[in-house]
Amino acid sequence: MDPPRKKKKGRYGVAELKTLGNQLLSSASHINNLPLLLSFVSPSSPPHHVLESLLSLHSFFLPLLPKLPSSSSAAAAAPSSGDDQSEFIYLSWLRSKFDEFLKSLLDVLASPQGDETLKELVLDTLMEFVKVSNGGAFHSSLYHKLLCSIVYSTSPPTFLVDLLASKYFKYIDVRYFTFISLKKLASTLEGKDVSDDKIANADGSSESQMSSNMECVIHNMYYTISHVPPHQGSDNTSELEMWSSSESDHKQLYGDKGADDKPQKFQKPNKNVLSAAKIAKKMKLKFTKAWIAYLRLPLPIDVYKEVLVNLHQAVIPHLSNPIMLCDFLTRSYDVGGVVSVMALSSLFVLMTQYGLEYPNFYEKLYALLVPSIFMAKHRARFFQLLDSCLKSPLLPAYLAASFAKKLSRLLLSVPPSGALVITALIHNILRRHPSINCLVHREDGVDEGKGDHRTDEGMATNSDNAKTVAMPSQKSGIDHFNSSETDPKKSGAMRSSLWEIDTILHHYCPPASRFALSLGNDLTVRAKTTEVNVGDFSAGSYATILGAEISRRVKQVPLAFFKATPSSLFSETDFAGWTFKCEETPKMINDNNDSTKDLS
Amino acid sequence: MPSEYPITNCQTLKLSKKSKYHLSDGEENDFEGIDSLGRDDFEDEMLPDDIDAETDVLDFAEKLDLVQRSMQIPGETSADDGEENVRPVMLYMLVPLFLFPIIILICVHDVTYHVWVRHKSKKEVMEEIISKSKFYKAQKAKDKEENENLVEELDKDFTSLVQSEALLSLTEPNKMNALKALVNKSISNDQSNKDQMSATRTMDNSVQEKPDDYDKLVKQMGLEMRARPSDRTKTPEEIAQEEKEGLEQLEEERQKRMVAAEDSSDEDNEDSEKPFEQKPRSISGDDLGDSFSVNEQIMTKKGWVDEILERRDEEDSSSEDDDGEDPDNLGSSEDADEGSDEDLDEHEKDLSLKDWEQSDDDDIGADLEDEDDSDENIETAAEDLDESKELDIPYIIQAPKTFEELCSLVDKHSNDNVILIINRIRKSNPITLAAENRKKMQVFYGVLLQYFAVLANKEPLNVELLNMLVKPLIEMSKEIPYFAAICARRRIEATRKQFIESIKQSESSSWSSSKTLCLLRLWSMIFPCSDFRHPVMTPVILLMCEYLMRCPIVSGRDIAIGSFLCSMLLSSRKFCPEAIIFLRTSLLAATESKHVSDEDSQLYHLMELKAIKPLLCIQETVNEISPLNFFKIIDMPEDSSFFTSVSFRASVLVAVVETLQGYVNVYEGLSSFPEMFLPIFKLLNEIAEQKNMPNVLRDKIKDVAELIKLKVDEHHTLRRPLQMRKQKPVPIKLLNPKFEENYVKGRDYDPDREQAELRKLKKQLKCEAKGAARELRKDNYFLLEVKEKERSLQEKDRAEKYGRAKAFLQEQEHAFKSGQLGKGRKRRR
Repeated sequence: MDPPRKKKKGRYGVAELKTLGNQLLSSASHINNLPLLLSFVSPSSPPHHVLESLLSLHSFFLPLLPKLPSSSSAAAAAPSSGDDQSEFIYLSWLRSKFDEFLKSLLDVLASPQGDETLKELVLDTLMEFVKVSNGGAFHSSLYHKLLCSIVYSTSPPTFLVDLLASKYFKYIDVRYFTFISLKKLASTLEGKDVSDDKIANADGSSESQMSSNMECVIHNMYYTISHVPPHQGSDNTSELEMWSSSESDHKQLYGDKGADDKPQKFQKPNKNVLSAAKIAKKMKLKFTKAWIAYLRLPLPIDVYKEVLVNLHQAVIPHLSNPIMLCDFLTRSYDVGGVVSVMALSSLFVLMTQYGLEYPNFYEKLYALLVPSIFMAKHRARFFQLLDSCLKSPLLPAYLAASFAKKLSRLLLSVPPSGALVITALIHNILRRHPSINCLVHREDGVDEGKGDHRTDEGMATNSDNAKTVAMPSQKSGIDHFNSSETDPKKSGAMRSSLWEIDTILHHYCPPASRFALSLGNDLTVRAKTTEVNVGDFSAGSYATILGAEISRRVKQVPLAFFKATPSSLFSETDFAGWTFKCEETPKMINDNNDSTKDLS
Repeated sequence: MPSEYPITNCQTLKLSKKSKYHLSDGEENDFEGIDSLGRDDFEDEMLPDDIDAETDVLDFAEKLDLVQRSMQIPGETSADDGEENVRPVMLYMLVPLFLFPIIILICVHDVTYHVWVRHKSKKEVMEEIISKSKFYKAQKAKDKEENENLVEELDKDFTSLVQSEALLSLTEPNKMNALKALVNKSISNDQSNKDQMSATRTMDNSVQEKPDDYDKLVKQMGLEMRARPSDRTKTPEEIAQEEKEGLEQLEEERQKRMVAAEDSSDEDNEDSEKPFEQKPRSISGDDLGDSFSVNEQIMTKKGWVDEILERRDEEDSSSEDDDGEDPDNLGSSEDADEGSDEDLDEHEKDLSLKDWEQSDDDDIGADLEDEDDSDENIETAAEDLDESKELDIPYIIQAPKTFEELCSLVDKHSNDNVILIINRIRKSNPITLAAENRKKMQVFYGVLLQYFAVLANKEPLNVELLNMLVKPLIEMSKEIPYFAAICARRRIEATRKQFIESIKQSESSSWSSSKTLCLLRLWSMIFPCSDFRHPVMTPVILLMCEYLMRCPIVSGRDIAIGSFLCSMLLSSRKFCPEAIIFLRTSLLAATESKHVSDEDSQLYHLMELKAIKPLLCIQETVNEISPLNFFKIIDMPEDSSFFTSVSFRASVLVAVVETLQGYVNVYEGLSSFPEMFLPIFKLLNEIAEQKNMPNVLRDKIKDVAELIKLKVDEHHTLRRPLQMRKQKPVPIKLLNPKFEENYVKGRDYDPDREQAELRKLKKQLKCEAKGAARELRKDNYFLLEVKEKERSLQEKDRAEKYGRAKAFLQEQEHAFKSGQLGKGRKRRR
């Protein structure tokens, strides 16, 4: 019999598979078709074969799932009569086949070569089994395996996660168990949980994947966790949708069994109601735990940036206790550079809305003021937050002065768009803190006294005169600001003056020099002046400034005036160190030959 | 002739005598009227007059002697008259001066006699005597002055006559003989001889001088007649029109020459035409020479006037071309030849006009043969070039509308011819003549700018043509500045887009290409760099600074191009932080040390984007330092080994240091000079201490470092804290009254409008309140009046009743007292 069966497998088409399925569903005498159909459910089979087998097996197993035994029921059934024993053996066999079927489905789902339509159908089948296979309750272990296969797959999980988000994440229990599973997966990755390690050891292949594809897993996990919508906080239990069965199904099922199961029937509806309420209450906690477990992982830099971009909007408002994120945020803030800029948004939210205390915040913020920040990608948000951080009138004067002087010093090394932002920030700082306006207006009373001293000393000898003149005058011109000092307290900004503002008045970019003139107004009078909106300038760049200049209307075009029109494009008098001789042509040829020789 | 001169001399002497006779007549009449008193006074004053008279007598005597000696018979009679006349002259001269005052005195005297007789005769007599003496003294003084003047005049005349006579004697020896003859005839002294000679010589001089002056005037007038009228000063439009017409005529000639070159029969026509053209030149040349030839050739002039005008116009139009000079030289040679030929013809034969013309043709033919030989011998190569130019380059060229048209026009020509073509296009389409030409020139400008850009992008660069194109582009930009600005802005935008795309592709270098550098330089020459805001130069500077800030530095070539951009930015003389940062980065690339100082940490933050390497570090000995050749660097590929050679690194360092020195000089006035240049100062010192640094470069670096240190010290000593909040001084409150024109009563002129409005409202409120009160008061008055009427009526009624009651009581009392009670009772009953 065996050789003919093998031959038949090679010849089977869709029609034959359909016939086999129908036979299996019609009577129990064709149960031997089950393993045959199972053999077609694999990633290597053609999609239409898998589809046909899948449909038949799904129809076959779905009504049998309540009857399939679990381990406890098996023990209970063992001491029963002989008829029960034979049936038990049969059901145990079916259970093993069902488990095999599930495993095949998961393999098909995780394979990179599979067809999208087929994967969608497989996902739907698996979710239906999750709903039904646990006697009406959510089958969390099966769902965990599903997520595990998604997260550990080598192909990007965008399609599957999008399917879940569109179809199943609207059910509260699906979201609930998603967070629980992701938390477990993160803990497993972290390698701290012993029990998870045991489970990992049981799955030898997954463990090897973990070690080799750590970053890939982290990416997949981030994509999944970021697409699960958080709980919106509605208190109406009736509005919540459950993916598990409703009470009517329970009644039908238990009605079949008889009067003995009536008390159990009453208990289960109560469980359903409780579980919905409990899920609603515990959702925030699970959300928090999932995210915190994930953020403990060693994230690569690109995932770091992706997380930080949306953390303050998508995660923090939905956490049960956002303060728990302070460790993560302070650690990322200490990294420095662009990551610090991105962490500032979330940290700002924690400090202003949740009462986080961060003693070194301003020192870290002071350290972020470097020229490269003005060419970073997320500088717009950073500058707005910087302006907000310096808005409090309770800040000490030395701190405001240090920031103003540091920003002013950066005017000497930033693009014109940065100059505009810096001028706006200094404008606002000077307006909010009248006590530091000595940076832009300091009287010369002391200098006058020194001048008198000089005139008196003029009568003395030349050497004495030179010495006395040199010492006091040097002090007035030297800038006491220490730009390399990291502590704002010790930078000595209050004794300095914003000479860079005077330099910017000669800037080549007309808006920058025009804007610097506004600092000459008396900013201590609040009634006459208004704060500049930093957001108007923070997103600027060379493109915006050049675009504004190009789109400016041409009214009149002045021309250069020459007494004698120049007859050459480049003249050596204008370019020191350069020569513009066309007689070098033969030398150029020789040099080209030399260069070709060198290359060869 | 010699007899006439003394006659004129005698006449002058007689005239002087006649005038004197008239004077004597007047004096004689006055003399008869003198009274006795006058005589007495006259006798007293005679003594000083006699002295003066003696001197006059001497002068007159001398002249009379001259007259006597010149003429014998009339001399005697004249002498007698002179002697008689002298004496009365002396007398008469004095008399009339005395008459008038004497007469006046007589009248006064008569009046005074009456008074004297009446009151004080002695005092009056003495006063009269004193006044008379004073009068006479004044009279004497006046006479003396007049005599002195006359003597001086005579002396002057005498000296002038003597000098002139002396000159004549020296210059004209022939006439002395005649004078000697006269001397022999008359018996006279040597002085008389000298006088006569001088007189005759002066006359001779006058005669000779007059014709000379006349001749001179005649000659001057002749010269003046030859001056030619100059043309009116022309407007630029007329000049452009003439240039255009000149090109058109040249084009016509060129077309004819092209047609002539093809056919042999036309060549014969040219041969026949040439003698016609040459005849006018020969005529004009002969005008300067023989008059006879001029007369003969007048006939020919009339016949060839039109051709002459055409030839002259052609010469004027072609003056700018080299070809114009050759015909002039040939013409001059022809003139000489023809002149000689004409002379020979005249001497040999007497020909009619027809024969003369024929002979001229033959001679001209011979000349043509000679000319051809000379041209072939001397200027064979020049002729070939001229012919090629004339054939290839038309004079009237339509402005090309597309780049392909311009390329087809220009491709096969040399650089000089390209510029010639461009200039001819511009002259044939001047903007000032037609409105359509502006559009044409704008399109042509765009096409020419594109051609310039394409040339700048070629390898190897055609530097000569690029330099030549600069001048026409600048001049055309002056004509259409608005369009030039629009073209520049469009190109800037396109260049920036390419730059952004090249930055994203991190493989290739995104620094500016030779095309971009040449265009940026061209625009900085067309438009001013130092404006605060300019529609073209502001975007140009922004673009250059963006290159310096955003381009990653990968090789030495990048540093070279960047320092070149910094040099270009230097001309704007504005604060460009990008340039300072770039120069600092370049110097950092020349250092050996790998440790980062605190001040350089800022740059390393920037280098996070740029990741600079020690590209300019000199690790070997350098023999020579030569300036960087811009075109060589531009044409080389990026990965050439030249950019890693030691000499290249040294040259780049020199360029960077020179540019840095320029920036130090430009930025010394900025307040933040120390903060900007102190880090550079430290870098320079570090570089100067390297081992393999050549001495020349080391010295240069040290000089710049010392310059920076000097200026930093100046800033440290002279810099003052900012005082940006200086408030304007508030003017003192003036208490003068303000006079408001068109004053309207009741209007509030307070400058504070809010207060004025408030005051107005209060005023209205007060008016309303008063009005209301007034109305209430009127109502009360009315009501009171009504009540008063009622009360008066009541009073009236009450008074009547009271009166009636009182009357009754009085009647009762009367009846009671009078005892008539009974009657009253009866009445009652």
